[in-house]
Amino acid sequence: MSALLQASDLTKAYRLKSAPFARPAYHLAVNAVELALEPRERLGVVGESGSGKSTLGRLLLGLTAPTRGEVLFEGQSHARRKPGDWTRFRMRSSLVQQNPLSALNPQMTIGEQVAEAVQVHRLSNRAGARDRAATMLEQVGLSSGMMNRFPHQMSGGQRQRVVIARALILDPRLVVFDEAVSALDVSVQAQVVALLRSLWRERDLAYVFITHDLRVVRHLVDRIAVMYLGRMVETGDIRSVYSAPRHPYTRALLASVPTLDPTIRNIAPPIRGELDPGRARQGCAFRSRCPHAFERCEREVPAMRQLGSQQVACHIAEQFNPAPTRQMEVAR
Amino acid sequence: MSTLLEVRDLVVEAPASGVRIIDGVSLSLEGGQTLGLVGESGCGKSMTCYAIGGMLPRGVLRSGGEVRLGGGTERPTIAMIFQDPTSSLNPVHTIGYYLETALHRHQGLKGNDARLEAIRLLERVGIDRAKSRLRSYPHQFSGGMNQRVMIAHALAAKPQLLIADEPTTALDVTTQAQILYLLEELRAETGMALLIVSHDLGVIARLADRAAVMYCGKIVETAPVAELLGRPAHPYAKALIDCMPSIDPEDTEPPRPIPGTVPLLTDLPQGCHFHPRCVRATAECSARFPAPEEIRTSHEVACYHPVAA
Amino acid sequence: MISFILARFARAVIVLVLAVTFVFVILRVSGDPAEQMLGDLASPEAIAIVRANWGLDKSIPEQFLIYAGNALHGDFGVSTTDGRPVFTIIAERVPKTLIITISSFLLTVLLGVPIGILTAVRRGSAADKAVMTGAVVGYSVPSFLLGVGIIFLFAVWLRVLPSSGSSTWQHAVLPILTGTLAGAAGISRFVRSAMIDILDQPYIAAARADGVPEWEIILRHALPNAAIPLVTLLGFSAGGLLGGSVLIETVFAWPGLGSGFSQAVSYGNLTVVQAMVLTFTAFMVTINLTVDILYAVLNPKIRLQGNDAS
Repeated sequence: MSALLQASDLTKAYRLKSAPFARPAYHLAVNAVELALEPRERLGVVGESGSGKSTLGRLLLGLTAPTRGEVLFEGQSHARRKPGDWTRFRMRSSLVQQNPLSALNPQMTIGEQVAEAVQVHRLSNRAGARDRAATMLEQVGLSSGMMNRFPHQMSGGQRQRVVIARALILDPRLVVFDEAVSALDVSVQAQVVALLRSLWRERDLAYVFITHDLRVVRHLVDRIAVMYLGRMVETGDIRSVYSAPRHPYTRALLASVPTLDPTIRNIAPPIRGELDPGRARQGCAFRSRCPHAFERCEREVPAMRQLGSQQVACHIAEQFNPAPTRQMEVAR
Repeated sequence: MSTLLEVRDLVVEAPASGVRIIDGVSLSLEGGQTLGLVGESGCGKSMTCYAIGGMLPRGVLRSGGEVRLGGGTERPTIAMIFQDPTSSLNPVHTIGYYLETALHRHQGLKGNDARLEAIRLLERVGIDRAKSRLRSYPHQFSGGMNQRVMIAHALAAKPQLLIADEPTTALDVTTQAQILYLLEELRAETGMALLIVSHDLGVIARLADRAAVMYCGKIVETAPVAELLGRPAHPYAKALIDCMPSIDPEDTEPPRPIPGTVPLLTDLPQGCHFHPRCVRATAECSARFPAPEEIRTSHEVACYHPVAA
Repeated sequence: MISFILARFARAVIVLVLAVTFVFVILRVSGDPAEQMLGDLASPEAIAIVRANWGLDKSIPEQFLIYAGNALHGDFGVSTTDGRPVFTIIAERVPKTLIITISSFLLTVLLGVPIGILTAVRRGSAADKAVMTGAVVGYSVPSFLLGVGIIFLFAVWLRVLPSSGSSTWQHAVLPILTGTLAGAAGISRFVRSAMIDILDQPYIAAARADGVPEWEIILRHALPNAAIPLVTLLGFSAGGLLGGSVLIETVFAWPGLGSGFSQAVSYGNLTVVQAMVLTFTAFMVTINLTVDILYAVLNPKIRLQGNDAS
């Protein structure tokens, strides 16, 4: 079965401002990323600021063009799409972003906004579109009586449901969620997570869930990919990665997440120092903060390789005891 | 161990809209302890900090209750750090100016003395190359570094109480771990008390000795943190704990949502504000707000039907 | 920073050259300058003589090269109306214009900024509303109308100040007042809204929480931030004053560049018009350059581009 979505050697470079006659410098927001998504698969992409995960999301949906590499959806490359193909692609894919208030037009009722995609693609007449919108709103847990409300008349959680309704109304095969629940309160988040789980069960839908929140993503995805400074450092199924992380960054990341265990205190932070994009150009992007870095890490970019049930990009990952500990190896 | 901070029946209102943002909140903090205030957005936890720190925004007034600082003769010094460090720092002031003016104001240091102490403070909070950083501006630093700068600034006041309003919410999780560790170290070193506000129970679990849960302007439960997490008594507190996702792969249950939504402060339910969403609610719950009751040692809950141990 | 300044300076010079070229060509292409000079009743022979005398029979590029060559030596030709060297005429008039323009500008700042700050701090009060209404009137009424109104009030009705001419310092008061009122009105509104925005920022609340006294908050914490966009606006204001000098000087019969310019245009005084355009452009370009540099100096984000500390 061919993959629904495939990205190979995906790279996006941004030119940095430099002095008038100096050689131009680039920032690689996404760097040689390989990714494959099967139909009905749920993939999580996690990382912190500067990881490139949001840029990756936009590349996957063709909202920005890669500097190198390509993205294939249902076998067709974004680079070779003609306007008609794009329309078809837009009907079969969607984006749900972080801030529902700015994703919704304050001047339109929510009914109009959810129905809009149906009308724009001329799939139905006005009445039919409104009916579909009403059904969709019910499916996301809002009563169709709310159709004539405006965004500012609803709570944050309700608005995000509207955004999800709008994203799913055309029954897309692929959705990219970019920090879709990050701006919500914890109790509302739990509601939306439950909603996403049930919506997925009822549909032929594959999605990429981009987030910095390692806790929330665990219940939403089957596989997870960890990014650092534009590169993918570890991928695997969520249970394996969370119970036995292999890459030093993944281990540090998981060890940093606060738990509800009040006995865990006064533990040294798993990572010292700050992001250092300048050093990311050569060798392993993580080496400036990795407690195990040695000279090979400086000259050679580690390739993704299979290790246990995961894929890891690290030269010496096999040396680590795979079970995560709270007392992590403290960085120098 | 003297009582450093005592808040009794604090009421904070916005007279223009008639909304009671905080409706009778009481809490106390001993020297050297850490109290966590936890709740979701709009519950009033941040406003409680501003009321204690004397910096309520325009149009918001303290209209009842009292805030008493220090039982003894001397009023304790309070310092505060905020949620988004980069926007809490003036973009046209250098880090050096920021720290040196604080040192001058609180410790009377000037000139070279101030500069050296500023360098020492920056190093203490883990910023390297401190001397050259004095000339930098907030926009040149990451969020984590700016938060360290704010902590250094707070330390300049040699506070007995540090109020931290969502100090790590805007930061990456690895940076968060660094800042939390820094706060733990500083607390142990200086013996200062810490009032920490967060919507993240994990942060509270890590730092706090005791925690108070807020809902719609009221405190619904106060307990030692291990008690609260292990044997929560108030249905809301319990629901909040249950709806938090975790990274533990053995924990197969997805987070359990709380039915309904948080009511608007302009439209609060009568009696216990949580009763419309509570599975244990009875007629009594909609009549009057339950008074806080001590159900175990130093464990108070405001509920007619607390969850059994 | 240095490269920033040099780049802006180079741009300023290019603008200057382009402006002069443009005017030069337009004046010769949009009608015969010789006819303009002599008027409607001139005979074709007279026109031809004038054309030859003024070198207007040569091709435009040739004329331009001659002009540019002379200009670089400081020779801008002579006035077509009275034969005096253009350079002298300009030199006479520039100081007059500068007196009222610079004075107006300084007073605009000295009045507008404090008023803006005060109304921001006391926002919503009766005084705030009164002042802001006055400000709306101030910048809505066109400057020449304002000028005429002021003449009427002070010169005709109250008879305390002269309405035209430039022999004593009293003559300068009314033109300066006119320019100031319009400018101060706009600046005060802007400063007010910028300060209100800034005073709501988290870093100001943090400073208050530190116990910084309110006057220090306004002057040392808020105002430096407001100065950044203010500088750009002041650049517009200065440019406006310069452009408005044409009207104000005419209304008050003040012998500066502005009134000279309108006279020269109506008399078809080619050489003077060209030189005046050059002068005005030079002033505008200098103002813009100053604004650009000041903006970079005041805004640490621009000043330190590419010097990230982390």
